[in-house]
Amino acid sequence: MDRAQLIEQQLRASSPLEVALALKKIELYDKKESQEVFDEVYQKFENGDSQVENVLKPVMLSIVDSLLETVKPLRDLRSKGLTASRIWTECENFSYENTPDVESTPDAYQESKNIREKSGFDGDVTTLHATAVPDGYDFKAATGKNKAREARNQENQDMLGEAHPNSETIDYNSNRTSYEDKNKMAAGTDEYFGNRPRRKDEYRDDYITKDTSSPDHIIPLTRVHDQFQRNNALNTEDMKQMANQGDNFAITDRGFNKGKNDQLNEEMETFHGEPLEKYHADKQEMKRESEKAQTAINQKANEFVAKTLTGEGNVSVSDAEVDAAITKQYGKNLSDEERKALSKEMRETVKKQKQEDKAKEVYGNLTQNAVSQSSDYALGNFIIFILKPIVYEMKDIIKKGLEAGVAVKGKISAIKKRFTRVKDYILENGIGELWGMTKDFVKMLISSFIEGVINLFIGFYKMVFKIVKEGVKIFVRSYKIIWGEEGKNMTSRQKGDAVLKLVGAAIGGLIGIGVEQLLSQIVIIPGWARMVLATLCSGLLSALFMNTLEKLDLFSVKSEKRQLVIEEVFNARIKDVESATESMDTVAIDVLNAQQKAFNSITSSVNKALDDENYEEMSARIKEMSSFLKIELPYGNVKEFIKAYDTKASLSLD
Amino acid sequence: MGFWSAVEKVGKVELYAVTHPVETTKKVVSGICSGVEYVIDNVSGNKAERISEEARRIYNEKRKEYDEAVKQYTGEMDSLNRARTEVLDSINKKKEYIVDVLLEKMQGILSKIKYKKRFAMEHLSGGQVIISPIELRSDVLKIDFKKNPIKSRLKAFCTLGMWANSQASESLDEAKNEVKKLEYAMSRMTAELQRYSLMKTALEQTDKMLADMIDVYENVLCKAENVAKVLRFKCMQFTHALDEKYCKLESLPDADQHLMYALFNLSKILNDVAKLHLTDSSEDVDIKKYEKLNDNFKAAAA
Repeated sequence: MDRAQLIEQQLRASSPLEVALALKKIELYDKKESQEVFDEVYQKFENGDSQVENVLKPVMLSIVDSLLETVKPLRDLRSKGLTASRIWTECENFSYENTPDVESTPDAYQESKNIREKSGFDGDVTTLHATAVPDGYDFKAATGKNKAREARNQENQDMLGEAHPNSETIDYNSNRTSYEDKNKMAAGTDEYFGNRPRRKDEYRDDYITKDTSSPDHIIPLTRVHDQFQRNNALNTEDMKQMANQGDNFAITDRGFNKGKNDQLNEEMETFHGEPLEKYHADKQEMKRESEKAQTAINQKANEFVAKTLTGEGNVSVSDAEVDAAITKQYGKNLSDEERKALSKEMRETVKKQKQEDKAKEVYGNLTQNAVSQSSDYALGNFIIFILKPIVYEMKDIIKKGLEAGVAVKGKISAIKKRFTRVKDYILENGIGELWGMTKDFVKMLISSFIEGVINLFIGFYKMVFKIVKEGVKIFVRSYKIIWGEEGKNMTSRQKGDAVLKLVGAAIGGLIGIGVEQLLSQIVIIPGWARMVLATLCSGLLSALFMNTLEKLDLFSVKSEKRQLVIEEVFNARIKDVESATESMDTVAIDVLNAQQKAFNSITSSVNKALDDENYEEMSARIKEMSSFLKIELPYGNVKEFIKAYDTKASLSLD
Repeated sequence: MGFWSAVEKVGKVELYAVTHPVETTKKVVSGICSGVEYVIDNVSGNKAERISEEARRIYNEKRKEYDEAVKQYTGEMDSLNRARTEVLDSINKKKEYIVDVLLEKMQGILSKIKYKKRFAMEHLSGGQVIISPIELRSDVLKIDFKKNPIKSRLKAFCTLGMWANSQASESLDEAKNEVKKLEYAMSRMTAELQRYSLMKTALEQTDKMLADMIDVYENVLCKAENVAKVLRFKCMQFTHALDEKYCKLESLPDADQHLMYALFNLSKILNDVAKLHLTDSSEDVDIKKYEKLNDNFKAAAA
C-alpha cells in the first residue's frame, strides 16, 4: 500500500471529531531527514571504495588467475575465457532482474596467450628457452628426458642435416659478411677470447690459424630450429638463412666450437672440464655476441614472415620440379635445348606458385587457429550463460535458505521452483544470448586472426603491431561509446571515463605481454613460471591502474553518479510528498464534507423528532449519532436503560 | 551510425576535400582554431570557472528561493496557528459548558447519573518547528575562482585543465545535490501548510458539531425537565413525599421513557466528546482548574 492509499484509509477510518488528530498523525513524508539520505548515498559510494573491493578482491582474483596458468586443463579454461576474474564478475553481478553487460572479450595478454597456444609458436621466447616452450609448455620436454624431446632432436637432424654445425657442407665463407672476419682468422684472433691470440702455454702450442679455427654458430642451429619450428610462416630454408647469416658467426677455436655443440654462449661454463676464465674467454663479450646474433636472427625472421605473408617467401625449387612443370605444360616431347630455354621462366613460375601456396597455407593455418579459438570462446560464453543462474541459485540458497529464498514450503517444491527459474531464464534469454555469442564469435574470429598474424612476428615488431591492434580496438570501442549505441545513455563525463578505462584495460593487457617478454630474458625462470608471474603482474598492475583511475576520477564520474542517485532519490521523495499532500487534501475535504452532511442530517432528524415529540424516533436518531461519532452506548434499548436506572443506585457516564 | 557507415562518411569527406580545396582548407583552419581555443579554454581554467560559476548560480538561486519559501511558510503558519487557537478556545469553552452546565442540568433530571467533572482541554501544538533548518554550505564549491583566483588558475594550468574541470564538475554536482535538498524541504513546507490548513478546517467543523449537539441537548433537556416535573408531581401525589423509590422511570409512559433514554444517550455522547482528545496536545483538566486557568488568562489579558 502506498502512502496516498494509507492516508485515505486513515482519514476515512477516523471519527468525525478526530479528523484533525488523524491529519496530524498522517505521515506525509519519510521521517528520515535529508542529511541522513545524503549520508546513506555517500556511504554507499564510499563502500564501493572499500579495501576489500578494490584491493583484496583483485589481488586474490589475480592470484587465482595466475595459478590457472600452471596446469594444462586449467589453461584450457582460460582459453575459453573462463578466468576466475571473469566468472566472479559475471556471477557476482547477476540477478534475474538485472543482468549487467560485462565486457566478455579477453584482454590483450590473454588473447596473446590463447593464440600462441593454438599455434604452438611463441615469438617472445628466445633461444634461451626455446626447448622449454614447444608442445604446449610440456615441462618434461624441457628436461630432455622424454621421447618428445628425442623425436624433435631427430627432426632437427633431418631438417638441418646439411647445415648442421658439424657438417662439412657449411660454406661459411659464402656467408661471411665482412672481410674483417677473414682478417681475424688470419690474425689468429678469437672472437670469444677478446679478439686476441691466446697464449701458447695456456691452451695450445700455437696461435689460432685458419686450420685450427672455425666459425661457430653463435646461436646453434638446433636452437634456432627449436625457436622457430612452429612458426608457420617460416620454413627450413628460412631458418637456414637466419642461422647462417654473418651476425650469427664467430671465429673461434675448432675444438672450442666442437665442445660448445648445441649450447648457447650464456650456457658455456667450462671447457675441457676447466672454467672458461682459465682460457681467458671473455664471457661478457660472448654474451654480447649472443644477444647481437639473436637480434639479427629475429630481424631476419620478421623479414621472412613479412615476405611469406605477402607471397614472397623463401622457397626452394628443384630441377625435378621445374622439369615436371615443363612436362605438365608443354608435354614430354620437348628437346633438351627447348627444356633448357624454358626452364628459367618455368622456375620463376613454379617459385611464384610455391610462394603463393606457402602464403595460402599460412593463412589457412591462421584461420584454422582463429576459428578454433573463437569456438573455444563461444563455448566459454555459453558455459558462463548457464553458470550464472545456477551460481545465483546456490548463493541464494546459502544466503536465504532453500525455501525462504523462493517463498515456497517444502524442499522438493523449492528445488523445483529454483530449477524452473533457471530453465525459464535460459529459455527466455537463449535467443538473445545466441545472437550475442554469434556477434562475439565473429569479432573474436577477426581479432584472433589478426592476433595469429602478429604472433608470427618477434620482439619489437610484435609489440608495435600489438599496440596498433589494441589502438584500433580502443578506437572502434571509443567510437561506439562516443557516437554509437553503447554511449547512448551516457553523459559526456561517463563517456570520457569509459574511454579512459578502455585504455587502462588495454594497458593492463599489454603490461602482461611486456612483463613476459622481460622475464623471457632471464634464463632461470622456466616457461610456466613466466606465465604465472606475467599473469599475476598483469592482473595486479591492471587492478592498480584501474584503482588509481577510479581514485583520481578525472572526469568526476563518481560525483556525477552520486548526484544522479541523489536526484533520483529526492525526486522520488518530492513526488511522494506531493502525491501524499494531494491525496490528503482531496480525501480530507471529501471526508469533512461527507461528515458534515451526515451530521447535519442526523441533527435535523433529531430536531424534527423532538419537535414532533416522537421520542422513540429521536432516540433512534441519537443512537445513529453515537455510532456516527463512534461512541459506544452502554444500553442497547430503552428497557435495559429503564431497568438499570430504576434498580441501580447510580449510573456512570464515564 | 555504425562504424562502417562512419568510414564511408569519412571517405566522402575526403573526396569533398580533394574536389573543394579552398573550402576544405578554410574548414581545417577553422577546426584547428576551434581545437586551439578548446585547449586554451581548458588550460586557462576558463571552462572550470564557467562550471564553477554555474554551480554558484544554481545554488544561490535555489537558496534565495528557499529563504523566501521559509519566510512565507513562517508567516502562513503563524496565521494558521492564530486561527486554530481561536477555534480551540471555542471548543474548550463548549466542552466546559457541557461538563459544567449541561450535564449538571441533566443531573437535576436524572439524579442517579454520575460523571466526572473533567474534560480534555485542547492546546495548540506543532506548526512551529516542523522543518529542519538547512545550513548554508560553504564547501559546495570545491574550486572557487572568485575566492582563490591564482590558486584555481594554477590548478588548471598545471594539470592541463583536468583537475580544475574535475573539481568544478564536482562543485556543480554538489550544488545540484543541495538544490534537491532545498526543493525537498520546500515540498515538505507546502505539505505542512496544507496539513495545518486542513486541521484548522477540521477543528472548525468539530466546533460546529459541538455547537449543534449542544443545541440539540438543550432542547432535549427542556423537554426532559417537563417530564421530570410530571414524574415528581406523580410521586408526590401518591406518596406525599419525593421518594425516589416511587419515582421510577418505569412508571412513565413509553414515549417519555424514550425521551429519558435519549437524554441519557445524548449525555453519554456529550460527556465522551468533552473528554475526547481532539488534538495530540490536549490534557485532562478538572473543571475548577480550567476556571482558574481561564480567570488567570483573563486577568493577564486585562
